[in-house]
Amino acid sequence: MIRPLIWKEWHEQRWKLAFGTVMLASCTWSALAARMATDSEVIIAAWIFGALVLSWYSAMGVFAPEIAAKTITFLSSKPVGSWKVFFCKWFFGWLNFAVPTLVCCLGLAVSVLARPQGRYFNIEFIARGTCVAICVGTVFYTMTCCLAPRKSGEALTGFVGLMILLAMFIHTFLLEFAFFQVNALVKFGFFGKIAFFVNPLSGINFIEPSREFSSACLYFAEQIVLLLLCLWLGIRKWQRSS
Amino acid sequence: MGKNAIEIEELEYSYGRNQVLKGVNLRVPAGSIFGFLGRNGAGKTTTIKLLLGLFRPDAGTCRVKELDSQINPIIVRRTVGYMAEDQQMYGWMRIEQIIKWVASFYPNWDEDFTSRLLEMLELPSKSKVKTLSKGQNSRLALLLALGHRPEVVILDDPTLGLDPIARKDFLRHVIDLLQSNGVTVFFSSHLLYEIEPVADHVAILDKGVIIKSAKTEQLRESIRKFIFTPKQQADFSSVPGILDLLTSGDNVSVTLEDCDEQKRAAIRRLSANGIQETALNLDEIFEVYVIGNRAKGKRE
Repeated sequence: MIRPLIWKEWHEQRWKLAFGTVMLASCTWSALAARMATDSEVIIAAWIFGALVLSWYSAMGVFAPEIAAKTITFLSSKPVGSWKVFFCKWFFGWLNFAVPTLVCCLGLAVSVLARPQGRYFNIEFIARGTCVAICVGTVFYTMTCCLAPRKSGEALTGFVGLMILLAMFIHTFLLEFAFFQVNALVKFGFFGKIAFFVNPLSGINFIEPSREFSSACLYFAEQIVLLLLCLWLGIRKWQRSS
Repeated sequence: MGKNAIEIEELEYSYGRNQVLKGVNLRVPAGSIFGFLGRNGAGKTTTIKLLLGLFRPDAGTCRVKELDSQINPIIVRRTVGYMAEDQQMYGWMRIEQIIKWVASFYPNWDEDFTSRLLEMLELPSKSKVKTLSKGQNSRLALLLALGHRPEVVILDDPTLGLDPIARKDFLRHVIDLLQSNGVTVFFSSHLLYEIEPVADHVAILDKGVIIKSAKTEQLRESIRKFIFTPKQQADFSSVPGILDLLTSGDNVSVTLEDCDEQKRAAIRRLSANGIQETALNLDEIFEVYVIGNRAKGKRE
């Protein structure tokens, strides 16, 4: 029963996917070719765009249009589990930012392999950064589409996304400040780390290979818990929106 | 008639603090065309969504063909043909695409029947859904609700937004398709004149409770309006079952439910002279139940 759902989502989302991929890839490659900034700055900009802008845009167009167009009743009345409908929609929305980010980074990796001396980044840097960008994007995208109020339109979902992003930036600023100035993480030990890594944006610390493995595990574990929590809330909201 | 196709017991549901359904009890006999009446916001659509297992009730149970909507929502939705009020479908799909898409959810989808319906309902299979008129949209929604030959069809205000001609045309199709082959039709509407010619049973939902459920003919027979000039100091509290009492000049109009000879005699005792007795149509019956003035007692 999931095939018709996949078919529908593919037909609805494929142009967004194509647009995001072409746009991100062409912007990154143009910036690299024109040497507008350093190579590292260009790839970091591509990650930020993929993880925060495309995921935000994607989150706005997943559940809200179905609710606004009132097609949700038609879809929900079909003999298929509402969680299947939810995951199908969530997954195709996720593809809309994950695929462009991956395609862009794969292209960069190929370019490094082809001309390793001419670039100021290596494969490991690209792989770590892409992993973190997709992780940050996945959690931010899921939070935006799942935490937006029930029956909210695209604009309200977008506003919720901006508020989540703002909260993430404030959290990063406060804890980075605390970490560097007061050394709060040392003071509060494990709980300090939990408070620090709950923010998806703290993943940027793992792009450079200096962090210890246990911190990375803690970060990814916290992000998985956050993701599952948001998905649970999202399914509940979706079921009530029918 | 045998078993009931739909059974609802003590159903309660709230949207936040607003309790919409306050213990709904309903039995829809198999093979009947059941008119589910109520004003806008009475809780008709909520009841239907609970029947389909789309919402979780606060209390009570819903069963369709003996299947609990909460325990087996998928099987219930497979058994039922459902047409939502003002049903919105995917505008980018062509009619043939949406039929194929909906068919893939139902293992027992009848393609030959669908082809015949497509022809009968005069739907252009190559057209996109967004280009259809409201009438065509309703007919397509009906086709999609019937394509798997369901035993129970739930129509939630299916003619909402249609002009009178399109409404009659739609109802003609519903009657042609459903009345002959023993399908149970649960027809929700607030337009009583469209239910009256087709429904053999009706239930009236008001403020979250069923205030009346009976066979249509029985309802028409048992409710009577009496117009007469009452005696001085007439005590209307001696007449049981008053649904509506209106005064106009010297005359009063009293509407009684379950009217029998005993009640007629009680009315005669209150009258100063002759009595005019009339039957009510479904529209008037609905009105007296929902907004009727049930004030009883001595007339001033």
